[in-house]
Amino acid sequence: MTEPQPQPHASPLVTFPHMGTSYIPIKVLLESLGLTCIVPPINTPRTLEKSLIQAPEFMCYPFKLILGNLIYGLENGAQTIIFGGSQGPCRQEYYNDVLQSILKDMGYTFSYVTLNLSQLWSRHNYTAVRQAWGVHLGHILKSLALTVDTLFSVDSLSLSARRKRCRTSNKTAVETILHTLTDHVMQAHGHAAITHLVRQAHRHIRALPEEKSPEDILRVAIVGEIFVTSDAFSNLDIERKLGHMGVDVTTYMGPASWVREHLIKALNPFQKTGKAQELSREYWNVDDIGGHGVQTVGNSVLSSRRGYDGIIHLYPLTCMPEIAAQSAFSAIQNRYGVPIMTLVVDEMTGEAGYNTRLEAFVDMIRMRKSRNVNILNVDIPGYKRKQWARNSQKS
Amino acid sequence: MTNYFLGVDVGSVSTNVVAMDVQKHLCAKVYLRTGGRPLEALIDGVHAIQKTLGPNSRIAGAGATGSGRLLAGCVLGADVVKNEITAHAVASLETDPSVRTVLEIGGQDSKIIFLNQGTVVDFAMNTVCAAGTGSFLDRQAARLNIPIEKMGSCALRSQQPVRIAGRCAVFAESDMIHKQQMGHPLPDIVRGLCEAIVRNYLNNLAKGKKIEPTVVFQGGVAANAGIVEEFKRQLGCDIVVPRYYDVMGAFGASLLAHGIAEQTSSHTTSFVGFDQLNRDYSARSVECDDCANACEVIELRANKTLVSCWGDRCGKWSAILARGEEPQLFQETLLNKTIEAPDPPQVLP
Repeated sequence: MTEPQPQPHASPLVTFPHMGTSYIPIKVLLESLGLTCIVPPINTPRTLEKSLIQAPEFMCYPFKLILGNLIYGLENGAQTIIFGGSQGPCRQEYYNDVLQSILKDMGYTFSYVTLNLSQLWSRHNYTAVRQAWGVHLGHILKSLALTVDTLFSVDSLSLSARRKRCRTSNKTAVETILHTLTDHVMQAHGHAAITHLVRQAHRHIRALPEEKSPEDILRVAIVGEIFVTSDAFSNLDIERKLGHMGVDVTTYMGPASWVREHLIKALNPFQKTGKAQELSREYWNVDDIGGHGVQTVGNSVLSSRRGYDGIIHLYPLTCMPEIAAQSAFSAIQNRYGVPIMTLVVDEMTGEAGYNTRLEAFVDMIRMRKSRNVNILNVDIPGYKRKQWARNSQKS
Repeated sequence: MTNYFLGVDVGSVSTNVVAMDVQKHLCAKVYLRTGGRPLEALIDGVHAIQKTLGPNSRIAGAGATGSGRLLAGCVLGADVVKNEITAHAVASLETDPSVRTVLEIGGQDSKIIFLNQGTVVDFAMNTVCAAGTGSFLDRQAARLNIPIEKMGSCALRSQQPVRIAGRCAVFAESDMIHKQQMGHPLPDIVRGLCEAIVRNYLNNLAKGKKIEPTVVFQGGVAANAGIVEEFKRQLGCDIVVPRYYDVMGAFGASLLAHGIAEQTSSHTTSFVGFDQLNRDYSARSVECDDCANACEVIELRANKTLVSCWGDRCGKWSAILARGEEPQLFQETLLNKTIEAPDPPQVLP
């Protein structure tokens, strides 16, 4: 274990953990606040090398990755950790305390800034940032605006990437553009430079030709725990794998939808509960069962009604809210006739079993679609129905 | 010259090879233990098939399935490489077109497949734990010193099965050891284990979905009469164990290869030929550090010539052969990192 070496630096060195592509807007946020950040390399098996020994055995997989990122940051001279906590009956609530005590036990000295991500407008967040770095409100708001701008550029980039992957015949092009972007963003600084890179990558992706015909494209929604659905390493690159099998992937959870929910919609004093929460009422009478359990059920209902060909449910091993949500699936399947497959991820690199399941699932929904098999004769009045259901009634 | 279709299923525990004639009759089958060496098992299996078929035979198509299908597909030059679910479904539909539910317990995976009108409509595979699969039974048979083939008949001798926890292999084993030290007779413990495995299977995979007859039970574990009896008892319906239950995956792969040959009349197989299988194979993995992903790229060489490589997330190594680059350069390029990205966006901050 190496002691962090305090380096002479004009601004304090800050580190933060990864969650998919969220490092791009977070980098913009910290740099516009005038801080220098140490971005850990994107998650790889190397991330877990040290954290697996330190983390509690049955802790969720995201925690182990986050701990690995923070260890990297501290070993490379970071003095401050910035991390977001949220409320709700799920282990995530304890992440901050457990992370701090593990890192202290490992012998690191650092200051720890916690942001409340459930209520982004809370006074706590403002005072935390001001006390840590002495930035005034105007500066914070300006940085926030730049961050949100970057966040949505990144989000629309990933939307285009998902759309393009299943439609272009050049399998490497989208991946190469995204990997090059990652490399360049790590070296670039500030909002202007970074968003320029993101938009440039976006233009490159949009310019790729679309060769496949729309009838061959399957639509699959990914529901589940927010970290593993948005982090490509932890979900074994599910978006890429499905994309190359000709599947247009939709994910509901991610940093952009979080910010839309907790920053932008939170400004509305007459805010109603989200659509997913409303729809999940069909299956249980609760507002929250922790984590994103309610959203998982609601989004599955939403995707079924929108006529998706299939739904894939992802969660890290031992995630209680998702296990609870899973119990609603057989009822959803029986009612809407949409296949739902659950995949549980944890620290693993053997992809054979995972690929087999994905491949078999795509094979199945393709076969169902092409043969127009109306399996359950379900009728959902007032909603867009599945194409195959309509076709089979005609014949 | 008789035409045959070859099907291989390279699984975690067994490697199966079958040959099927044009009328879809199974003519030869080999069931081998993979024993951690899939390549050797595969080549031995194909040679055994070649011997059975005799010199006057021609392979008109080859299909590969199982967890080692990628490797097997490259070595054989298979016309079709498919997942086990599709292969098993195709095979059971061929043996019995009225099948609605397929129960399959293999070495490392257990699966349930629901069919309707000849189409897979739903399936489930075990998620995180291998409790109740073939390898667990194998291990317990070895521990109890019963040959795995006799486990079923041993279970059927039981008068009063004991209760064993089936949720987790570790709990199941400690339950079994506890019961054995308490003096319970062996058949009762083995029957209890069968009961627990079926209970866990139905709870974990079927999850309240409707299991409709005809129910077909296949995979290596279908040889165990104790498990078959338990399925009958717990499902309350008859269970069909097909004649070639142990090689259904391979049979399905050969059927898929047959299907491809039928689709196009001018089909020529990409099967490499029996002689080519004696090539000297070597596979090795290199950690690529071109980008932060650090993928483990595997390259397969036959007689020092690159046959295939896979395992990269960006796809640039797997695409090398497709792009028609000089395969011999692969080793140097991977080590020296000189390959250019196909379409690098020219951006500078």
